[in-house]
Amino acid sequence: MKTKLIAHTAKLAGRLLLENGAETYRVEDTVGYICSQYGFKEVEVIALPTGTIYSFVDEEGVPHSELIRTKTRTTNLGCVARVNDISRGMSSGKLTLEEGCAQLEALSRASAQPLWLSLLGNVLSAAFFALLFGANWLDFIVAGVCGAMTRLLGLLFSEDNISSTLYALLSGALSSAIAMGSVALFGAGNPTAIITGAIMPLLPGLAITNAIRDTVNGDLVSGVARTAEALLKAVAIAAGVGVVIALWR
Amino acid sequence: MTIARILFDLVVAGIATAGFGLLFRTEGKSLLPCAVIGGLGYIVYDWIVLEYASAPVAAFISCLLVGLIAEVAARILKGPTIVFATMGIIPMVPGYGMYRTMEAVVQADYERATAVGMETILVAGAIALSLGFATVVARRLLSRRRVR
Repeated sequence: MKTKLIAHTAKLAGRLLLENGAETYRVEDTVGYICSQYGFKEVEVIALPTGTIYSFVDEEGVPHSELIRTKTRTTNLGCVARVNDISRGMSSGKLTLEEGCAQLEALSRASAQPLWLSLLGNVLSAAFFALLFGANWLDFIVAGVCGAMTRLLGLLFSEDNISSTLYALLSGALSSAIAMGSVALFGAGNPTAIITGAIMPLLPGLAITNAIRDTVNGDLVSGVARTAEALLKAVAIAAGVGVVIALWR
Repeated sequence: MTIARILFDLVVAGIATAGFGLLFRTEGKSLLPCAVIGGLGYIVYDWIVLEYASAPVAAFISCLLVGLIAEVAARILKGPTIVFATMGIIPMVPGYGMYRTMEAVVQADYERATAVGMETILVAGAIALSLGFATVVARRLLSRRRVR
């Protein structure tokens, strides 16, 4: 019974970390730590962006292995930080296994981010990045509108891979269409600043950070896979922007 | 570089970074530190681009700084480094270069596209390299509870 609970807790922690954008070594460390802390022997973990495999020998000497498949990858750094806190609590003895498992369960059932908050984030970063790249006040507002529209466009797409690439393409196109349109209609000054600001929230900053941290850590497979993910997204955004500018001429 | 420009960079890049923080669902308590790290990084980047060197060099130095501050902040605030590092480098991500590359491609000006595109790739590479470098340096200097 206890074996089941330990394996379940490790699996839960690994899944939460991988799905919410943690680095590979953090996933491997956390899963491995939970397993070995509660008495499993010969714990081996390999984490990849698309799934995690771990094996261990339980207290009766029976070998087990488990597989966690991750199909969606979102960014929720708050969740990563929470799992990190819980695993720290368990390793320092502040949390028992049962408490840790219950907290992880609660975390995996936590509600999605309210729409207004992500809208606010998107609008703020798009508008202020535009300002940083030399926008005037009208451009600033237009960039904010672009940010809001791309976020709303995101509601139409689920989070699997094909649609996230399509979403990157379409949101790049939408941003530049709004920017070009507002320059033509209201004489907003600087389409470059607007478009740059609007595509900043879409760019794969986290993916590239993680790719490098993985590579430096020696998790070469994950590093290369995440680089590919980041490149695909960046190219899709650029293509979306490019198509609209080309058509506008 | 004037004081006004420094303040402008700090506030505007800071708010933009905080917006990203909301988007990436950073915990409320790390939002302000992230914004400050992002703002500081951008000040250094802007200063180097204005007075001394090209964008890739500026990106390397400023992101190295961001990476080191992030490692320290993670230990003080007891959160994962990735939270602070990811947020901190956001203002340096070369969205502007990407746009100008695309613009040049669309105008069939391949010479400019190659030049600007090369710079964009170099900036991205510099960010990546400096972050990796910061991680290695921090591992050496600051002891970790769980050493890998």
